[in-house]
Amino acid sequence: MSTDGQMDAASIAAAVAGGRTSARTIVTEALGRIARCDDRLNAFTDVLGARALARADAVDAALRGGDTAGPLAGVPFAVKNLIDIAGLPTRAGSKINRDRAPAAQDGTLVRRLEAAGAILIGALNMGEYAYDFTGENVHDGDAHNPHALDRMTGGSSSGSGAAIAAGMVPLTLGSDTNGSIRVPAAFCGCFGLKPTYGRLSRAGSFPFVGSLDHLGPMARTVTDLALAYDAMQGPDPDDPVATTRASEPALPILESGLDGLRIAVAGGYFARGGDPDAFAAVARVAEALGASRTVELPEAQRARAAAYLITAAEGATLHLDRLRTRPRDFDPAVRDRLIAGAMIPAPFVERAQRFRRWYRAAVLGLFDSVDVILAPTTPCRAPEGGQTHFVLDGVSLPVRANIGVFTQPISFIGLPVVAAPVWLDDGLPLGVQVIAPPWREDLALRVARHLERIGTCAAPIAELP
Amino acid sequence: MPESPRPFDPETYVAATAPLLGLALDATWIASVTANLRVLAAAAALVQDFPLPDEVDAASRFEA
Repeated sequence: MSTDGQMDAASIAAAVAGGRTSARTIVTEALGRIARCDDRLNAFTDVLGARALARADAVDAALRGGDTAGPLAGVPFAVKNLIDIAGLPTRAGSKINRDRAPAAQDGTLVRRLEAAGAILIGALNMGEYAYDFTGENVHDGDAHNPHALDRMTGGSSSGSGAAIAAGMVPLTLGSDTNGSIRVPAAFCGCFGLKPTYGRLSRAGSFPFVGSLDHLGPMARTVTDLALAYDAMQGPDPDDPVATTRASEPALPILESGLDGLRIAVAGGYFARGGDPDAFAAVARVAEALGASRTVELPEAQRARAAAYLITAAEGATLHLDRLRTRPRDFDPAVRDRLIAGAMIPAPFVERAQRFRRWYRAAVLGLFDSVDVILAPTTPCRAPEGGQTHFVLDGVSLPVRANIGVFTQPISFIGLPVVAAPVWLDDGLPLGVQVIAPPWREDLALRVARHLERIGTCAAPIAELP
Repeated sequence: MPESPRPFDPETYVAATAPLLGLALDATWIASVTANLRVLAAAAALVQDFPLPDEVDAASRFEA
């Protein structure tokens, strides 16, 4: 059986478990696709052929020996290069980190996916130190959008989005501090899950903003998101904010449909400041779901401002020693943002954290009367590579700082979101955020699965030129 | 009545703060750093402008 990149993770796992193909065949084909495609996309920074084939052989041998197949048996996956991979320095998109000692072991989420039968096949390009929404990287080169090579992938999980959209692997991991899973999901036309803050362990990943960092999966189907999400859940004492809640699997209720869910569209801040297409995508999804109600997240603009401050200050604190000793080894755009962040007076940051507490309470109150909220993911389709400004609502704004205007107020309080791709026409995709209350990833995944089933959202593999 | 504060001058602020932080800034970086600082100052003003009760403290361990 040949997969040729068309099989999703669930289909691969079923085929491997059923003996219709082998993990070695799947991994060999994935390595072939990467070799054929990645010179145009620059999604991968490391391809781990020998490790992946050895792991595939181990999976095949275990199945031949009578072991039960894991839920991700034989599924090749790749991770943003801020997640530890044993034997590699965790570069986090930087030049400086290449001097780090190789990681002693894989990150927690890599180990959990491999325990479920998945096979790590490589590390993925990203914006330097995750301080990026564009997918551009001065050290490793920019990642390119598989649906239009001259367009941005979005970032900072740029390779994670591009590898999915090109069908190089069916599953990737990214990180999302202010939108870095959801933005590339929108620009590259794939699904992404940013779970509740604290739900998935971040142990064994290079941090950016401890107050806001999340890890999560990206895939071409919602079922694959749920498969990976379920495999990665569970407490982890190595991450100080990881929840101690028991796993709450989403897959068993994924096909439950809407079943009386109360769904509303975010108005106000989330209905202005973007291209009309961004709001048309939300309207299409809302219509498909029969959602006519609008709710307003109070003070969303201030929430975005507060997230911006905390990000700059915490990120700068993390990197201060490197800014002192190796400032010329940073991407200049990242360096200058971090230097400015280091200079923010402490009362401003403390105030932003106090506001976060207020905003959390105010937004959680909305969920007394709604179960799921819809909002645009980005204010526009993927900009051109190298583009520095765009015009939104008649105002010229810097691209780098403003792609995340609609994602930041959501991750600021850790709400779970599925980023779902919408294709309004023959052009590039847009994204819609399906937002649920804390710890209710299952609701966001259920709604996204319904949208996928009725054809409103889809993640087709790009046809590369 | 206290006097009104002087307007924020990012260039002066950056020049004064860099030594405190142990940062040596190349002159060619200053325009970019100050531009970023202006954006951060605007964000801070927006957050500062929102009245918060004294009892709303930052969660020592934030949970969604």
